[in-house]
Amino acid sequence: MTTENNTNLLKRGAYVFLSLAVLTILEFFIATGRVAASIPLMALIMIGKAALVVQYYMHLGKTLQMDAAEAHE
Amino acid sequence: MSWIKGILFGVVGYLAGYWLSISLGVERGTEAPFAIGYVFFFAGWLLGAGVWDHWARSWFGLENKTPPTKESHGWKRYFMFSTDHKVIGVQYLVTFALIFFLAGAFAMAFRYELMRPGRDWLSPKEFNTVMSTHGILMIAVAVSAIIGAFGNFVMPIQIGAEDMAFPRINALSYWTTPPVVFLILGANLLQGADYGFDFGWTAYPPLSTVAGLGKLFFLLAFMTLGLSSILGALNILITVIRLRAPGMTWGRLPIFTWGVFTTSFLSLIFTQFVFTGLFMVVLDRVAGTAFFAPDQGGGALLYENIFWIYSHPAVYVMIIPGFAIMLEILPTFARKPLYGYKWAIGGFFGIVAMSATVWAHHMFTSGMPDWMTVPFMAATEFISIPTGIIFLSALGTIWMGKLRLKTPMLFALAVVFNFLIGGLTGIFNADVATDLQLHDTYWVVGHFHYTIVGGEIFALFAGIYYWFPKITGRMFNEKLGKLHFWWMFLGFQAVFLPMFWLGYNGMNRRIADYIPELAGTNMWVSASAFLLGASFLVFIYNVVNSWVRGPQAANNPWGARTLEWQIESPPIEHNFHQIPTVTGHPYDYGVEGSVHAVLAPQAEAAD
Amino acid sequence: MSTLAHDSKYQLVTRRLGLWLFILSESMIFIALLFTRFLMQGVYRPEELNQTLGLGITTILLISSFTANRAEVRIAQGDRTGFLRNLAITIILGLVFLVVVVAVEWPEALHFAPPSTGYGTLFFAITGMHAFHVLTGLIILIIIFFQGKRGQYSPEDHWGAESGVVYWHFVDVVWIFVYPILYLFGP
Ligand SMILES: [Cu+2]
Repeated sequence: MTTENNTNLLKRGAYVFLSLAVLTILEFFIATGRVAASIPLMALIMIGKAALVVQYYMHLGKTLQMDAAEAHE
Repeated sequence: MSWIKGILFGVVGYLAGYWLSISLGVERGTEAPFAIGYVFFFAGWLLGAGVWDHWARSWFGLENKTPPTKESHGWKRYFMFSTDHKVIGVQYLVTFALIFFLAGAFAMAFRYELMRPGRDWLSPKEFNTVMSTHGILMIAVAVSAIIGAFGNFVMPIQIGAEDMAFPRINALSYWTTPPVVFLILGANLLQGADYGFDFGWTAYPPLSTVAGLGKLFFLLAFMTLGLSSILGALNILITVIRLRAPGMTWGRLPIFTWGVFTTSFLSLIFTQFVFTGLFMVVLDRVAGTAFFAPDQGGGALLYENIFWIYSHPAVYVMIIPGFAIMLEILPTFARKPLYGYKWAIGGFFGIVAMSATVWAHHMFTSGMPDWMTVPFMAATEFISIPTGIIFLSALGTIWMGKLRLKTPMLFALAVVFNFLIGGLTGIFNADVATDLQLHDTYWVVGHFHYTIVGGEIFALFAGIYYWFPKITGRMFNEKLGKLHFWWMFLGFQAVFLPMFWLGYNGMNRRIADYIPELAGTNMWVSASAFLLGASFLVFIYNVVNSWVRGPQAANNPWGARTLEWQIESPPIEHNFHQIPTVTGHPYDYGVEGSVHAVLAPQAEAAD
Repeated sequence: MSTLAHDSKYQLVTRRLGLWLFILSESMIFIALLFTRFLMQGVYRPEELNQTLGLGITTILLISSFTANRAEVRIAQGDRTGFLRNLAITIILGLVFLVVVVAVEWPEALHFAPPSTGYGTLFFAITGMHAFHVLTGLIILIIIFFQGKRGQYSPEDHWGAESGVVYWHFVDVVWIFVYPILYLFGP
């Protein structure tokens, strides 16, 4: 892995964090602001947040991809 | 020795945990400091048993000690934190055989009480605890014995691996089981109001939330058992996915490996539900929560749902490995290819997929909403379709086969016979209308003993006889093996067949007494039970004697094709001199030119 | 004997898959508990519940996930100082989270939702189970921190650090579900 690659990874981590922060605040305002259909909306947001962490912080996709790549070797 | 060091560390841990909880302000004399103390006991036990020496030292910058091997410790390694899958397999097998006999002894005790109507020698509370102890210990055997013993010993060899994927986690999952037995027996030794647990193995609230330290022992034991089961399942799944030898494609995987593999999905996912359910009961007891207080939204039905979401799939955790052993043995002794190999695997997956959709059939009489009964009845009856496919595979394999009726084969055939009765009587429990009459009677007792004992435990013994020469390198006495089989088989029928009649005539399960009209049959059942119990003396004598001075076993005494039979008996450390190459199907008996695997020496000769 | 199983790259993927199966299994505890929340109380939530405090601790845990990710990238780069710095921040944030939950949140909740009520039962059981996972995660991260300080882990081989970080993210993911379901959902 090159250093440049890793700088990108740091940047991506920051973007993911920003998205998570925005979504969390959004969630909070949906809950406190009498928005219609608030529960389905919040449910969608929390699933989206979890997907972001699982994909970009926990590298689930990458792990499965590496596994699949080996199977074809 | 791991046992002594484990207990020592455990006791120190317990005292530390107890002291910590008291000094944090937990009220003395309640169950809370005990529960916290147990968590510390458990951690201490594991550390002492070997986690510290062989694992955790490196966390603190120290050098890990190397795990014991045959060269370094000889037979003593069986009492130590060995990471060799074959040693762990034997540890599981012997431990759970002992638990099985212990649980059987508890059954003898309450069958003596049930010999005559009225009270003989056990107080009602003692009866309940003895009956519950029999139940939970047998559940532990049923969940862990085959997977722990043969899933560990045989499975890695069958797929051509040197060991499990995570050998230390494997050892950990074995060393998690002794505290279960400590707790269960400990609860039986308590005195007075703390004595025992009297709620069966299901621990339904509100009975399980009533005071009594023995009840807490039970809950903690069951949770610990769950932990062991989860770790074992994780290891098996990864091992099968990652460590198959070259050429061991999914379509060539031996059926026993398929069985433990599919079972492990169930253990991995559903065990956490029973863990959570028991955790809730513990919280209600020690932390004053209100999960099962009916006026706070929860209640007993909540527990029953969570409990059976695990405990129904758990019956497949028990029976699928049993079926798998049966299907492994039948082709070898019928000298025919396994009939419908792919269909049988489909049957396993069908059961796994459907097993989570049927749990409420245990609750038809619990007051669940009426609209739920029919879907659960239908789902339960549908799950007999994949089960039937597995059955068909067994029957197709023996059909027109040239059966060699050796001891393992007799046990495997008995699985087919017993499970047929167990399966057919199950229909009456799945059907709402008949279940309302039969629920919680000896009909149910007969049914699940025919499926689990008649199915799985017979398969366990089939497996013990089948792999005994491989594990020990010695041959058992065939005559005594056959004697054990017929004695156990006939004894089993004599005990459990009349139970259907008893249940149909209104004998309640888990109750120390019954109407006098049933006295004669109960006398018969009890007498037969003692006879059945005595049959295991033959087994113990045969196994111990053969292990010590039986004749040397050939590498492949049964003429089987799977990999474990192509290597030495007993296998060398890491099993193979070189990792084999798999070239064909494992069950092509009588198929010309088919070779399952090429082992290193032959490959070198071909070069 | 050299086989695929001993190849370090192959082994790494094996370990990753093992960790994922463990995470899958652990998630079932929270799935069971969160389903119980709806079964017992629907979406009921006491008025007194401090949603802003909840937002505060959510933010703390979120930032800790961010720094944990940075720590992992840093060690993959071979930047040990950056790794240790980010890990230390993660551990401190985790500790703050734990202290706020146990020392501020819980005493407050004891007044309006004691464990003897339906909502209190769920609140304490779920946040308690989560706090237990935070605690284990913290212990793991602290061990990793000192191992890193002793010079363990390299860009090529840092599975120990990676697994601890992934586990820490899992704890965060659980909270991502717990926070809305306990604090925000309401009639
Ligand atoms: Cu069932």
